[in-house]
Amino acid sequence: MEETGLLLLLLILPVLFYLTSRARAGKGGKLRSLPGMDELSGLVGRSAETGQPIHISVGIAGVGGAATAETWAGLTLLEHLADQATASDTPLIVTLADATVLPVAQDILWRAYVRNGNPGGYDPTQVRLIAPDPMAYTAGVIGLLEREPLTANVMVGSFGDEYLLMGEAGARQGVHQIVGAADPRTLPFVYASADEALVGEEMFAGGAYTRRLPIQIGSLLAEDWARWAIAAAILVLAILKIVL
Amino acid sequence: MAFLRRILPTATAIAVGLLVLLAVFTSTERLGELGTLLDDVSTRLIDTAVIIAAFALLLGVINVLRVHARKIRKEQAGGVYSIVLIAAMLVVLAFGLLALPGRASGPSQPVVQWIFANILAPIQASLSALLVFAVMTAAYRLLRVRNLESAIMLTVAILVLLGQVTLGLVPILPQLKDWMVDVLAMAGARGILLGVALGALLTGIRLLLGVERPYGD
Repeated sequence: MEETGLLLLLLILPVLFYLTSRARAGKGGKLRSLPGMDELSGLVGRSAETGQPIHISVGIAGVGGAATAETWAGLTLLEHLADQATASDTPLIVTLADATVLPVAQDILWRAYVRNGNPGGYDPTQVRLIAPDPMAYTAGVIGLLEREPLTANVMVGSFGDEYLLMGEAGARQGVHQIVGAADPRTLPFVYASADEALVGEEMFAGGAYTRRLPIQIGSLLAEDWARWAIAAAILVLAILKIVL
Repeated sequence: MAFLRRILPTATAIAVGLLVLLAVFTSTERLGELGTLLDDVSTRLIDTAVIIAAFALLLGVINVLRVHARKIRKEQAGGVYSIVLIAAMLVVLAFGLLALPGRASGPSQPVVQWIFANILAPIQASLSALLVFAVMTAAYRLLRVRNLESAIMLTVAILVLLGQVTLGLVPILPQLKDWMVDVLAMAGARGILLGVALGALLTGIRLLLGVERPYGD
């Protein structure tokens, strides 16, 4: 198993560097439109107009576990929204369930305030640890969605079945919802309750869509290449199994 | 300043990440003493991370107290719940810290166990039960025919439901349901999982290379 992982890593690294150099030379191609990502850029403006905050959830997992990449996908979008929000003095409410994410999320928010020349505007209680238990976290977020007037509800990270209770609460309140999840068991619930869904790998593309660094675009292209290679391998092996 | 704020944290994170990754990919049998050393260093680094993460929990408790104390002070909506929350947290903490004769303090304390089993668990179970109603309202919203996608979804849902509860009137329905669940749905789910795995792998590589940094500017 470790050997397969190492082989995949060694195969993908040169491809990543090659595609990054192409992206740096302006040959990265055009990123296809993701409605969820497109919607994100307009949220802060809408929030500034209404004066109502945006709620951002980075999921129920922490950093350091199996779902770190999913949590980081949420934190990447938080960084993007925090940069826009602090520039227009728009409030954000960030909720999380794992204490390991708390200092990271607070630091992201604080740095956004510093970058925009307003470190005094930072309020550490904008980031709220609700509860480490998924159901208790859900109850806390439902309370927030029902009590606080919000412009939008952005939830990107690791979620289980309990997501549906939060998604339905948001839908009942008529809050605009952008949700990203990776678990195939949660995705039908996301699809049913969110206005825009970031399905599976789409949630990891946040950095490429918001910062557009060559290595992020190169990494998206490498992902596409790897997917095509794996699909071709599956097809060839299936044909070989039928023929032989 | 740039060294302290940018270069040092990035270099440390990359070095630690590569060391731990190397220990995962190398077996001690093949590398002998070097492999054992790598394993030891990796385990120590992970243990350090666990200890630091434990301090994050303390920050979390302070955060909960600050958020809810402000709510109570400013007499915001739901302030009563904040009083209940802080009181419950302090009571459980007090009982958890209390060392009874013959028992160490902590979550194994009988009173804490009783609170978990008789208060927390039933509340969690009740919330889980609400999922049934949430699924029904979500299904109602999802299955309203608005476009071709929802029409296909409704057709598949009806076929799967009929296949699940068929009374033998249409013998092909259970087979059709099995094929839809085992082939169509499974293929879709595996496709998503494949994309997620590749996305997570490349996110990890970007973090390891220091392109995306959750620390410092």
